[in-house]
Amino acid sequence: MFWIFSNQIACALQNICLDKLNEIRVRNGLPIKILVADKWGYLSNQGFSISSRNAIKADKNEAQNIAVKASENSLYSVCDDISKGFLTLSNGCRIGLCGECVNINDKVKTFKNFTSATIRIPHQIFGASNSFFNYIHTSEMINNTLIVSPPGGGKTTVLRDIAQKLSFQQNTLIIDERYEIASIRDGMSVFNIGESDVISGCNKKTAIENSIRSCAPNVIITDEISEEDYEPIRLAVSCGVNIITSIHASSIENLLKKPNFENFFSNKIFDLFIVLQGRENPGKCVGIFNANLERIY
Amino acid sequence: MIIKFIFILLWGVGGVFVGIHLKKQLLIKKNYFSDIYTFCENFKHNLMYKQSKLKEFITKFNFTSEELKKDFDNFLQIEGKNTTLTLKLSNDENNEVKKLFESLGNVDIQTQLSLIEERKAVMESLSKKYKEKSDKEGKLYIKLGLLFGLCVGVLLA
Repeated sequence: MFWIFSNQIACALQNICLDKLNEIRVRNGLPIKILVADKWGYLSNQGFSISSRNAIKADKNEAQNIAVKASENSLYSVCDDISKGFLTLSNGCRIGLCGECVNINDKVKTFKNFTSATIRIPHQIFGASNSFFNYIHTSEMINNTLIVSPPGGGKTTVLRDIAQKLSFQQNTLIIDERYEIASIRDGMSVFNIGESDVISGCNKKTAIENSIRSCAPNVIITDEISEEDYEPIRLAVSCGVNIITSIHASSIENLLKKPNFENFFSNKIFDLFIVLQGRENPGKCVGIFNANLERIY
Repeated sequence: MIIKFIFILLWGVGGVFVGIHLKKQLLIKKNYFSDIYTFCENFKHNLMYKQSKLKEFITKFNFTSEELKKDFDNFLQIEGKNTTLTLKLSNDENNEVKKLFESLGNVDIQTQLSLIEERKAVMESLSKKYKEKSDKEGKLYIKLGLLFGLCVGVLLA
């Protein structure tokens, strides 16, 4: 991951405990912020610093340089990803990019003149789903499950752990639209996903429709659904395929306020809703709800 | 007498070789710019269809100009920062080639396509310029070389 940064930043990062480094926020011309474990601080030449006084300031073109290096000096080849606002590295790190939008015919074509980059570093945590796995996979069945959490809550880490566990018992398919759950590179997953099959870089609609015919999965695991994923998910469930997925929301109450979410709820697509606490305590389950949204834990 | 004749002849031949060498320099530059033009043309197709990574594209490209190959090897090593060119070119020509290296891989696809088209046009005109030069001036260099060589031979003999 260090190769995407300038020499000064790369050297400073070597003084940080990388196992606990979760996020790096680079804003052009501003001190670089880092999240180590659950503490926000700044990056200095010596490593983590509470104060911004000794912090390394990002160069005025730092975000652009990060984007260019992350694309292996081939920015033209990642325009589709950049149009969605992010790049994914081969080790699963996701780089969120902010900059100037390029619109063509009222559609976002790409971004340019990047002003900031947020690098999120994934960690495989075996047992991340231990506290609620038995609710998902009971002795009789697998429940269609929606994991609810605000950003940084550990959804992807938990899904990865669930896939790794389930794959030894069920034909498990991971639809890894943004290369974050399995992060396949050169035919191999960067993470331990057990015996799961993986479809990468494909939208959920196409992946679900094709895989039900071709891969015959028992369980599909995918990340960050939105209202436009309702039809393919409904299709999968109606074909007897279990779905375990996640959504951005801070609570069940906020989830119900999401536009067009009522389709999922009214048609009882999900049997189980698992709410995670959020960034303050990634992966911590604070509530489990049944299909009627009654709290069972 | 015969020795003098051979001496003058050798000078003449030497002059011809100098003329050929000068013509060859023009041809090397013509091939250099022509190869850049071909590179731009192929790269444009890469942008439109396969979108291979830059390093992969450059590694697989079939260079006919040794000098251009060295420049791109250098470009890959230093990741495009201030690529030093192998050939001795004029300031303007130097800048035109460096504009290509500076623009590769740093911009979105639409901008990249526009920049490549622009570079193609410039390289095509430079390649034509050196082709015309080598056709016209190349023969002149050989003739002048022969004449100069013979003159020197005569003076020294």
